[in-house]
Amino acid sequence: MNESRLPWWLVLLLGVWIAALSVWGSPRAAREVRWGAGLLSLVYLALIFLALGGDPRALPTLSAAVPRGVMAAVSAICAGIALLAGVCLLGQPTWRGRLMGFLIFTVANGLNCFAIGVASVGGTLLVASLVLAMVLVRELGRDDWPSVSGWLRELIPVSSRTATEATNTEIHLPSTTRAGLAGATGIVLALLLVGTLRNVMRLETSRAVASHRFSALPSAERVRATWKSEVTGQSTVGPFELLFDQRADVIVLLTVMAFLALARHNATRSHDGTTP
Amino acid sequence: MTFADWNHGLLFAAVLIIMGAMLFVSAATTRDRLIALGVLSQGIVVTFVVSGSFHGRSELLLAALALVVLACLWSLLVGGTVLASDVIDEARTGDQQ
Repeated sequence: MNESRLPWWLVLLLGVWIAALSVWGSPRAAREVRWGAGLLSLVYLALIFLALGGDPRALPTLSAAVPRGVMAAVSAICAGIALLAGVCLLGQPTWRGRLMGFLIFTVANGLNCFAIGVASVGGTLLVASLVLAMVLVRELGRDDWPSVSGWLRELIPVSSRTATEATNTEIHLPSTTRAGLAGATGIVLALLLVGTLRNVMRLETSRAVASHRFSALPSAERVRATWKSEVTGQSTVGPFELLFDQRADVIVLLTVMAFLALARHNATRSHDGTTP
Repeated sequence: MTFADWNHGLLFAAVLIIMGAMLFVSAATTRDRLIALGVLSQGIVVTFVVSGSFHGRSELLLAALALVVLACLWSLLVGGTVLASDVIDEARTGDQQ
C-alpha cells in the first residue's frame, strides 16, 4: 500500500498564498504593499492550481466553449468571478462595497451550482442574492447612485482605516489571567488541529489510493477503481455510517469550525474586557 | 462531471472556505461577521455539491447538517456578544442618517 503524503512544496505554496491574502486584508499596511500582496496572492493561486495537476490549456474558453460545452465554460467563469469577489471582500472595502462584493459572490456561486446541475442550491442562492440586492438598493437609496468609477471605488480599498477604527479592532490583554487563558486556549487549539491532521493522514493512508508522480491527487483510474470496489462491498452500510464514518473531510470541517468559533470567542471576550 | 472538473471544483471550494475563514477571524463588526459567515457557508455547500456531483449522489443532507452545526456554534459562542466597534459602527450609521 502506497503512503499518501502532503508534499512540502504544496504546503509552502498554500502558506505563502494565505500570508499574501492576510497582508492584502490588513488595514494597517501601506496601500502599495496591499496591492502588491493582492497581486501576489493571485499569482500563487495560479501556481497552486498548476501544482495540483491543473492544465490551463484544458480550461474552457468562450471561443472553444460553444462546440464543447457551454455549461463547463459558465462554471469556470462563475468560479473566477466568485474568487475575484472574495479577494475584493478580503481587501476590507467600504460597507457598501462589502455588500456589493457579497452580492456578486452569491450570484456567481448560484449560477455555478446551476451549471453543475444542482438547481435547488442554485435557486436558493439566487433568492438570497435577490434579498441582498434589495438591501443594497435600500442602502444606495440614501444617496445618489454612483457612476461606474464610483462602483469600482466602493469595491477596492482606497485608503487605510482610521486610527480610531484600528484601535477598536485591537485585542487588549492587560492582565496575566487573560494572557494565560489565551495561551492555554492556543495550546488546546494547536493540539486539536495537530491531532486532527494526524488522524486524517492515518485515515487517508489506510485507503488504497496512490498519488501520481507530479500530482498531489490520485489518478482518475485509481479513484474510480477504489470507488467501484467500495460500492460493490458496502451493501450493509447505513446512511449514518455513510455520512460520518471515517470521512476525513467531515473531521477536518468540524475541527475548522470549532477552531473558528473558539478563536472568535476568545477574541471577543478579550475585546469586551470580560473576565473569564 | 469529469475527474478534472472534480479536481478544480474541490480546489475552488477549498479556496472559498479559506477565504471565509479569514474573513470570519478578521471581522470586527457584526455586519462583517455576517458576510464572513455567508462566504463560509457557501464554501461548505459548494464543497458537498461538487463532491456529491462527481459520485452521482446528493450530499445536500450532510451540507445542511454542517450549516446547522455552524449556525449553532455561531449563536452559542459568537452571536450573543456585541463588540464596542459595533456600537461605534451603529453610531456612525445614525450620524450619516
